[in-house]
Amino acid sequence: MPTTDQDILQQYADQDYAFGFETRVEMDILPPGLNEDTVRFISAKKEEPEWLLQWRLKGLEQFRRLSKDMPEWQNFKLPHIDFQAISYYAAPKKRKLKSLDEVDPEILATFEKLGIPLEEQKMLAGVAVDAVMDSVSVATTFQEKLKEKGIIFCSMGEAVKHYPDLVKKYLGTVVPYSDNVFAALNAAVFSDGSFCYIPKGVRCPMELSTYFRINASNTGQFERTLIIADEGAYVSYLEGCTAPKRDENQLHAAVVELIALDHAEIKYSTVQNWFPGDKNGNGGVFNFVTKRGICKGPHSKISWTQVETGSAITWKYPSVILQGDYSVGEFYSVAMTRNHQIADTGTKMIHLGKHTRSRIISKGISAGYSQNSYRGQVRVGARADHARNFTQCDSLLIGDKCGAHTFPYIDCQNPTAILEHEATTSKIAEDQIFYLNQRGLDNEKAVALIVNGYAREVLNNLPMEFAVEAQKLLAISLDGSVG
Amino acid sequence: MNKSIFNSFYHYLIDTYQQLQAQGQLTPFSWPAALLTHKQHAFEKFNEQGFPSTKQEDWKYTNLAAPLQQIYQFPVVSPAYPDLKAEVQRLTIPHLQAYRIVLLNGRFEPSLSDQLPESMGWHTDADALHHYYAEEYFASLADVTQVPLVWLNTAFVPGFHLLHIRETVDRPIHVMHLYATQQPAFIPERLLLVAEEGVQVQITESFHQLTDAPTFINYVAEQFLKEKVAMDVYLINQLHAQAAFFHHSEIYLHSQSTFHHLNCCFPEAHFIRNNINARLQGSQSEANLWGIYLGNQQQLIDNHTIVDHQMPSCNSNEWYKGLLQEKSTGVFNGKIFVEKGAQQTNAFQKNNTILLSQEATIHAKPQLEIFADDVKCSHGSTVGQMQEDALFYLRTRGLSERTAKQLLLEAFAFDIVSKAQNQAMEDHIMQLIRDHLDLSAAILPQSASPAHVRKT
Amino acid sequence: MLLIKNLHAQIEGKPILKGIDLEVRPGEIHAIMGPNGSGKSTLAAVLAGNEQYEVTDGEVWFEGKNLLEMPPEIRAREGLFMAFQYPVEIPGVSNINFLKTAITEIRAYRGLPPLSAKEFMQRLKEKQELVEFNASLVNRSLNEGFSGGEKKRNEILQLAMLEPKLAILDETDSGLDIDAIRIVANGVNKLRSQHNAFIIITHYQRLLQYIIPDYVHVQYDGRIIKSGTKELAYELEERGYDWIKESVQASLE
Ligand SMILES: Nc1ncnc2c1ncn2[C@@H]1O[C@H](COP(=O)(O)OP(=O)(O)OP(=O)(O)O)[C@@H](O)[C@H]1O
Ligand SMILES: [Mg+2]
Repeated sequence: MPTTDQDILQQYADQDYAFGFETRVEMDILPPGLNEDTVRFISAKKEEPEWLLQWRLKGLEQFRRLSKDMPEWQNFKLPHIDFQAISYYAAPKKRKLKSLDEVDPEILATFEKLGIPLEEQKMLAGVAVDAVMDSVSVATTFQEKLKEKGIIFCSMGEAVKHYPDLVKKYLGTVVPYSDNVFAALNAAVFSDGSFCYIPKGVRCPMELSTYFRINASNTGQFERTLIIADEGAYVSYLEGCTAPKRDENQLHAAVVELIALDHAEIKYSTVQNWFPGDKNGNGGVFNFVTKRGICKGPHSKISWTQVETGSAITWKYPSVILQGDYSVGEFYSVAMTRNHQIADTGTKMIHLGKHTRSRIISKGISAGYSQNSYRGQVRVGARADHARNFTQCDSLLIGDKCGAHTFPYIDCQNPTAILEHEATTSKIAEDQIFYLNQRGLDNEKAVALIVNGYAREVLNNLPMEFAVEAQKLLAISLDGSVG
Repeated sequence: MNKSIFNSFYHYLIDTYQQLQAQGQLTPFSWPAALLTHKQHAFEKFNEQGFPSTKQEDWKYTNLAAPLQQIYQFPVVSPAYPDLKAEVQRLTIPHLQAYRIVLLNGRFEPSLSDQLPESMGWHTDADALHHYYAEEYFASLADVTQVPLVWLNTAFVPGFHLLHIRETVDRPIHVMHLYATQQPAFIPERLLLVAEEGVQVQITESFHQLTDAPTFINYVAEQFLKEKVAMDVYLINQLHAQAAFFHHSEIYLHSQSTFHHLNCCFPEAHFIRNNINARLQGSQSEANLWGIYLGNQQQLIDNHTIVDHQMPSCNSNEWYKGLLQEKSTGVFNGKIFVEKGAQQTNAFQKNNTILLSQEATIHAKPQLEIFADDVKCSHGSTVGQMQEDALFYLRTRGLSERTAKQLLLEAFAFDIVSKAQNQAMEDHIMQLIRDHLDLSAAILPQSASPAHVRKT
Repeated sequence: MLLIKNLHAQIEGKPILKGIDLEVRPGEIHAIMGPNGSGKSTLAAVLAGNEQYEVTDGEVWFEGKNLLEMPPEIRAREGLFMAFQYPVEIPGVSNINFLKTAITEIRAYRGLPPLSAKEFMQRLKEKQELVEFNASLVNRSLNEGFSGGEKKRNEILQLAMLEPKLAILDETDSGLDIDAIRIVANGVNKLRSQHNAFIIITHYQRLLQYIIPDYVHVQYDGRIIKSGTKELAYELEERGYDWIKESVQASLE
């Protein structure tokens, strides 16, 4: 029989964060503080060209301006962040690796523990990984194989060195440094991240993946990812992340830019499992991320899929600008919050081209004392004839101390558009649980099953390996949520 | 702060208030001290906050700077209007058989109004100010929402009307708001309505302009429904293009009371902003907010609603539909709050818009904020056009394109209009929709030319 | 009455009708059969004037007038009626109001005054009896919440009310139970005369047992590949379409 809500919540809250260990490697760490010198130091450390340094400095200037008036529109009070108390550069000491053999075995072990083996022979078939520890990329696998197809997949640092023209052409074109305060901060101090270019007509033969890990204490992570799919190209990209348990909050302010040219398609999947803080809401990652893609060419497509279970605060709206005629944008999201977590996430679909289509499926699950908000915008410009959008956003509440919120903005300036938005909020129906009980499942399994079914439509969009991982994550997060 | 507008009209208002106050002419009759405190407080707040700008979330798409570009004079001077009786006759709703209460520029006109029955008390001026309900309710419902335009109302309104429904009223009540001014005028107007336990009442409020001078109407209504009240309110906005209209209704529902609100906005006031907030303060109460708006020219029609579930076992239904023609803009913002402890809540909301011209715009923001788990809440929102296959179907049955469009658009509106609990109101509203639909201009999803024949 | 010559039509650039030839004279009943996706509904839609389809070649004459130049409502007023394979649900539009408006407009086109309310109700009652269609449904919105079979019967009621010269029935029999098929067939038989004609699109010869066609056509891949008398329908039911496809294939080779 079900125990009381209190027991349920207790068990649920006690569920531990499995990835909260710390790795002991020697680190290069910049002392905390943010000023022009910090930016110059990072830029110099990475041996960047002058234009990039200048761009960073403009980002810093914008950050100073924007941080005077921190955003207030989100559905939570932004905690005070002391930007001067954060260290903006941390890197494992050993540098200039020629092969994986030279990677610090501790780091390899770390990623192993996370389920991300870097050694190529052990790799899950068909996934190339760029692993980022704190600020720098520590290893990128399968590079050679990709090169044969003309695909560039490397760390942002390497890309700046080897493909400066491509980087210069596209960096900041989708998320300019002036976009918002965290994007400005990222522009100023971004440390590394992944760069990916798929040439004309090439279908990337394997999933590309980046695994992010914050390890050092008092550091922020500010990676920047740039993916360009040239005409007719296709790529599926996966991103995962974890961080050690710490009492203090860590800041993660990443930027992701996607560019899809004519008939190109980019699929970007995230499983976000940053440390969410303890059951009392202490510690955890502040995840303030700007992700945006542009469907530049006709018939292009960008699809975001995210499973968000971690972070103390998530603030993130992967968006698509549908510029090319007949382009398609998609957003599939599962956001699960518990304890004192806060998630304010959603998307923007900006329809500019004709016959553009977008689809938004958002599933929120809130438990404990958490607050889970969907915030989304569908905008149809005056010239976007025959634009279509379908939005479904559902919230599931587990327990009576949490909150579920929906803030969709629908702005339409074109009479030929067809926009549909549906939202529901409910709890798991007792009769569903009872039905499953009657078939021999205990409450916990029943809830897991129902939640999984509830998230199915989104999980189905993840590549196989990730779907399994995401399912496990949801199960872990739910474990013991029902007596 | 750029979150507010401090324009010349604002300064005019502040100066005027201070002058009138200094001359002891702020109000034509003396206000009890308790109420005067509200007034003073409201003035201070307005003085401090000014008009909200588009930087404020609730005004994001509704720019007050445009309608408030000019100086609307205060206090308003009502001209001698030649034939008010005929106007009242003209504006009387056919077959409604209502008790008519006529207000001119916010002032009660007893000679134009009907004799009212014992079941209802209508108090104005000093009579209202000193009524026992005045102290209890005045400003206690609306002002707490911290809306600057409500403060503006409280600060400037010369007095208010108190409609006290003591017993079930045998006929509907029709409050006719007439406006006639020669100069641009700022007209604050206020109603306090208290419905006693168990009463049933139907109220229609219609808004009409008799002259062409620009007016800025600021109407605040506080409505208190005691237990087991059944109340229907119809709002019919038929103001002229020169009108800027702000209206705020704050409705408190006690247990087992039922409220139907049907909000109809028609051409051609260039600016309409309605705040309609229903607070379910007693369990098993029910709020129904229906709305139909039809815009033309450069109209901005903004409906902001809140359904606030504060107690368990309440139901709410909301459905707003819009038809936007020409260069009109619609804004719909519907918030549903389900507060902690408001278990067994059912809250549903829908909103549908049809854009009928290339230059029409809609901004819709349905919104759910839920803090209780045993709830069923949903909202749905669509923007689109007439269904193409329906149009084709009707045309294959011999209906002209125009007739087919008319049928479909009327059907679209009918979902809302049919919520009227009174046949006379239903017919009246439907007729107004017919009058204002411009079918020749309504564009179609596809070009409506005959089947395309390409000669080869 | 209807003359179709070399009709070609496409949707979204995809050719569906690839040269249809057909003549229908007053008093005749034509059945069109053919595998799924062969373009039967497309033909009906093009004849009714659905603007989604683009006519790329050919001509269609109806009572000596160029049908393709008319908007759908003029075709209807000229006397062309299509019973839809999937009748559209139109919430909020009442059946009665709709029927009354349709009749009034069609009559006005023909220079006739509107029916009085009494005449209209009278005719409605008659026709309802004719097609044995439950009266209570008529007070509801157009097709809204109707079962599949009810929608089809409502189409036949409209057919009876509007008295067209040429009626196209697109799979009106599918989704109907056996009794309903008989009722529909009875209705059609009572309505047929020397002055009107029917095109009946169907997959089953059952309906054709009740409504005896003068001609049976087989449509395949956008063309009529075989025409015959009612016996052809039996043969198709027995043998399927493959033998015809093959013989066509063979004749091409
Ligand atoms: N709107 C459309 N867009 C794209 N293709 C269409 C459209 N309508 C019809 N088609 C295609 O045209 C072809 C013919 O369809 P149609 O409905 O005319 O066939 P049918 O003979 O009536 O089939 P059935 O027996 O199943 O009713 C099919 O391949 C169909 O997929
Ligand atoms: Mg068909």
